Amino acid sequence: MLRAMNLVKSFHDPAGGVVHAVAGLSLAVEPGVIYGLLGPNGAGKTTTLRILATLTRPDAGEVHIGDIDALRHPVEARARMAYVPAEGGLPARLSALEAVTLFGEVQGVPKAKDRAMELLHSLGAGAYVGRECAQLSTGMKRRVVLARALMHDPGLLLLDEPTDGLDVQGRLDVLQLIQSLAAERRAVVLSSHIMGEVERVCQRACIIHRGLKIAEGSLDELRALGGAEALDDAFVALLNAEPKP
Amino acid sequence: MNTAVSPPLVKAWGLLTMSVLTRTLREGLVLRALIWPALIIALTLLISATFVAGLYASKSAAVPEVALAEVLVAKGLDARVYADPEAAFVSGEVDRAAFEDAEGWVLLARFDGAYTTIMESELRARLGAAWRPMIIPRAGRNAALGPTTRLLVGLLAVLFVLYGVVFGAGGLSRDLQDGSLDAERALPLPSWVHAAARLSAAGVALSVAFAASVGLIHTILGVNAPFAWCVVGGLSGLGGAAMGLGLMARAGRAESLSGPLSRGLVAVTGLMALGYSAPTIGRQLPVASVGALVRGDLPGVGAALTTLLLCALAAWMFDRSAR
Repeated sequence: MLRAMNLVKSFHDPAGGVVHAVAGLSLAVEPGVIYGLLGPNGAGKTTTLRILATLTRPDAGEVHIGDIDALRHPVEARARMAYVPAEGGLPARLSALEAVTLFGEVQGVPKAKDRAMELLHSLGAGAYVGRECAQLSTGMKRRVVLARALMHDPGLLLLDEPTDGLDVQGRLDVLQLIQSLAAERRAVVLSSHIMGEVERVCQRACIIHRGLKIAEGSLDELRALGGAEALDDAFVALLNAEPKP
Repeated sequence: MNTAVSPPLVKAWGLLTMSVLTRTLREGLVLRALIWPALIIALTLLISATFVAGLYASKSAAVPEVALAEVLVAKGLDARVYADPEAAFVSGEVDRAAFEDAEGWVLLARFDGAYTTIMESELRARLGAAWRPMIIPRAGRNAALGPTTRLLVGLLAVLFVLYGVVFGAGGLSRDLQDGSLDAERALPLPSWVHAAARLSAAGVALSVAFAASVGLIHTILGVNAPFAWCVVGGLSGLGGAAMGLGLMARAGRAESLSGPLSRGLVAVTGLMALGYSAPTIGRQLPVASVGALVRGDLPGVGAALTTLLLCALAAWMFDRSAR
């Protein structure tokens, strides 16, 4: 479903230096798989997701969504995926129903309002359809954001820290939702720095640090590479094994 | 999975424009900002007019002769015969009095104005004086009030241009911060559609609010070339929004709102000053045409074309900012 090869992206920092946000990253995600993008803050997770979502153009590399070259045909690629930014990205002054319906209408979804209602109900946000997004709780916003992402029935979901700011119950609910989406043969890439949730939902993951992929594989493979039983410990061991800049 | 067929770009543009417009108008502060200037101006004008009308409305006059009273009544004055017109005036019973004393005819008046002039004119005519004042009817209130209303509407237009910059930069900054811009950009649409939707929404909101304001002032005072003002105000508001959007897009997340906003405000102020000082050039430029019209130079077709060019430039900067 998703193949990214040798992605490179650098930015100029205010001091005039160059920051290598992504440095030669490759990854592949098959349908039905939840793929975790792990790394400490500033590792390059969001930049990688933005490149995959065609929101940021890489300096080098390739991204393919199915058989579409996403860098050459970003509009066609976007029609097959949904990107959910860490902030959620709900317009404060639209109601939950309006926000979700708009995305359906813009993408030509037939009977967009009915589908929005259906999705909001199925994701547990049915009681809040008429409420302005600004007035929703963080957990409810996440549900609305996911409903919006699913409006055009994408095969690939790119979720940037989808449980950020949620309480324990909200986090569990969202992770359950993500699992149910993957069970529908969707490919899911989620970024996180919380190992517990990665262990709960991801089948495969890669650890990135300073834009570099330092390990990739199934969760068992990552534990083995880090020489630890807990993913947290393996993660720390793999990061510490990296030479300091 | 995805079987949806993306609608034509124009429809997507329209839907996004409506969405931005809805969001903008639901911001109470924005709505008040659009409505209040015209309402305050209208209210101030009405209060002033009421005050002035109350002050100058008196037509009362005291005269010593029936014949003179009849002539003045025919001219619109409320003239009555008094045995002692001067006493009636001094007591405050009337606001004008004409009478003859040892040295000749005397005219007393509490106010200047048309009726006092008419009274003087009739007295002079009656005495066969060498000259008398005449009131020539105005060609129209527009002509007489032209410079005043031009300045008034011009100030309002300046305000709407500044609003445009705030709308363009502020709206984009808000959407950058809350992630809604990224979410929208992830839609299967070319990037320029999002810029176009934002500019269209700003253009519609500012044009409608400005036209309503001009209409209100025109109803009360009369405005020279109200249609030209509506066109120039709408285009200049759009130009301001394009300036704000382009500068904010260029700054991106690297800068807070204040930097692009202040640059935008300085740029539009400079353009309007250019239009005022060089109206021949200004009438063909976006935003500058406000300054030119305050000087009385009607906008050229070039103003519309250059405003569209400015919008295209802003959309290009918006598109580039995603890279």
